[in-house]
Amino acid sequence: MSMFFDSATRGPIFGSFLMCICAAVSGVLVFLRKRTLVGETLSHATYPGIVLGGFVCAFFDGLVSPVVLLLCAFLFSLGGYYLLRLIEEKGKVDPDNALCFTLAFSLGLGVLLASQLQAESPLWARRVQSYLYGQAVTLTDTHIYLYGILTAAVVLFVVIRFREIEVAIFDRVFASSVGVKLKGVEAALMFLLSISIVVGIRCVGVILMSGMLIAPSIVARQVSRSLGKMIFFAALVGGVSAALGTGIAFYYSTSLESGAKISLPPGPVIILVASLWSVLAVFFAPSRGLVFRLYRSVTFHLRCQSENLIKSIWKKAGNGVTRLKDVLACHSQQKWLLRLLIWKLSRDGWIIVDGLGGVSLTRDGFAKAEHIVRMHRLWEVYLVNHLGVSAKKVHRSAEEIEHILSPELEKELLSFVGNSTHDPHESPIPGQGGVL
Amino acid sequence: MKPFEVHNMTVAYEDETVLWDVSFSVEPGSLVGIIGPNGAGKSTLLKASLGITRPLSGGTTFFGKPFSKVRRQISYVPQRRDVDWNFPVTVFDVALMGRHARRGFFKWVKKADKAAALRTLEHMGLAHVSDRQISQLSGGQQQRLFLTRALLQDADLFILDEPFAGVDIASERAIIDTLKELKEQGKTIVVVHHDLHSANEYFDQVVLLNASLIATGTPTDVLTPENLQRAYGAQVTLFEQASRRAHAKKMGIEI
Repeated sequence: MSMFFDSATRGPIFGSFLMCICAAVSGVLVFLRKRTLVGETLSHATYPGIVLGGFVCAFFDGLVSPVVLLLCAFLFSLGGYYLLRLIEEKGKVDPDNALCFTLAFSLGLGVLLASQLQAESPLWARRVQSYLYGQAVTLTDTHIYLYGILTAAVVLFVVIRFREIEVAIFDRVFASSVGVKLKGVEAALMFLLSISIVVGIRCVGVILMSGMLIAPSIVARQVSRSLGKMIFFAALVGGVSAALGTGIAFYYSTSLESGAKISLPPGPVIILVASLWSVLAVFFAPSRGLVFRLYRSVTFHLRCQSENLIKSIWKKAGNGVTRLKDVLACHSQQKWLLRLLIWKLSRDGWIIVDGLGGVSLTRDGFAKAEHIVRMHRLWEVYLVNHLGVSAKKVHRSAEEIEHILSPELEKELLSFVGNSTHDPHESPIPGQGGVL
Repeated sequence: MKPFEVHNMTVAYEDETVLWDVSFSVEPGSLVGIIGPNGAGKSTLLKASLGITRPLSGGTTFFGKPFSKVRRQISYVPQRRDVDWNFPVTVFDVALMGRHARRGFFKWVKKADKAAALRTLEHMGLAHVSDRQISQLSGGQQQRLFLTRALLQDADLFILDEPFAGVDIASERAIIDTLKELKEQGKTIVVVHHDLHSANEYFDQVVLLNASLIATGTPTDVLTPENLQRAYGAQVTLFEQASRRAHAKKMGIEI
């Protein structure tokens, strides 16, 4: 707890906390606008600005240096955006190329200026250097106040103009038809993005900045179904990553016996924490995560298998009893899997397996099987009669469709072909009598 | 005062002319279809009218005034594929956008607006999905949601771009019934449409377009073989046959 109050550590902790929230909020908006690479480019565009700020600070001693540097970085970020737009629109250059060019040009200019600054003032050259990779450990109380004000401004702006931003990103044509100024919203987004970048570069550096813009959005995207929630979750992810990252960095920084010090830089640790989090979200998020999607896909596959088993028992035995061995012989799947499915089917009350190797359908199982076969054959009728597909080709499609029909689709299918009695292969369609 | 009047409109993208000197007008309280082959400039006509793209010359007046003066009286439904359906927004929020458009986006919506949104969603058969994210809707539901949003704008003129594209039969029915209801209330509706055969049944007035205006008037007067030949050129035979067949299939008529 003392970390939060200690004057040496509270700067980095609160500074990076505020910075992450700010980046997460504006990151969500550019993420949804599908222009995250603009963030990457603009953060590089700030570098020559920082170096120029270094010149100014070196020249006029005693300025409030963080404010000067931030202001220069901010102006260059906006300048970078206008350069980008100029190349894209007037030069008719592909957006990707324009982004690459602007990024490389800015960084090149920055490095060139930095070498000049080295000759002018080595002290400021070193300070400016730290903006490339970030140096969260040297954040001070001044930074906390400055970042606090800027972050509050960004969040407040998004809250006040929320509905306008939402509609402008979601449905541009509609927004423009109801009088939302798209260009104004776009300019505002870039303004917010630039503020977040200048708040962030001191902490995580010009090069890693875009990670902090994107990672929280990736996590939040997986778990939210409205823009408000997405922004909230992104801010949460950003804030927690910052706290965890700085915590880990300080905890593992140790002094060696020789007097040398190993210190983990908090900036990269924060980025790594946030990235790890987004990887986990991609895999484990409840509805969109890969793991659960795999789970649902496997469950569906198994359901198809069981329904196919019921169907073959129905075909072999009808109302009577048949040998389990014969049923299993019709299926090419692994024996153990089939046994497992049979066990589950009998446990769920669809079939009865007697001790003598015989198997029969329960009343419910019989109805279910008839229903499946009925849907299969009706679908075939539909394909042949209504879509003109050849009768030879319809079986495969029906094999699939019989398992996926929702009640609504079923109703629609019945409205087309509900009174057919035979399928295109002349097999009768069962279950004509209805549910009972 | 004509709710929708196009005056000598010419639109060009880059160097290509997409619309050439188009003029027509629409009577109040009518349901009008703008019809033509792909690339005939139907959507362009709407976008240029609403100031989304800039016409080279000419323009459109709404109730005798330019669009920016009568925005609140007009509701525009874009094409479904114009938006990203993975966007994190719920069905209810999209419906509410209609009310925001009317009130201004800075103002909080009132309880009455929310109640109206729910009622309209209910009317369009979407109440049970109002909490869902929009990516979970079917094509027909998406289109009905767009219409819900438009209804909530409480406009006098409705302009819809391809509302029946990729939509199931039940949704098409629901949408056309709603449009006819609006007509009964004296509203004017302009629809960009691609199916020639439902045109007869749906519209009071048809505007046949292929870069320039071919003809406008009642469907029976406009959709003559000569006019269709001029609008669709050599494609018309195949297109006609195919769409007649599709229509017959849908209605279960023996061919």
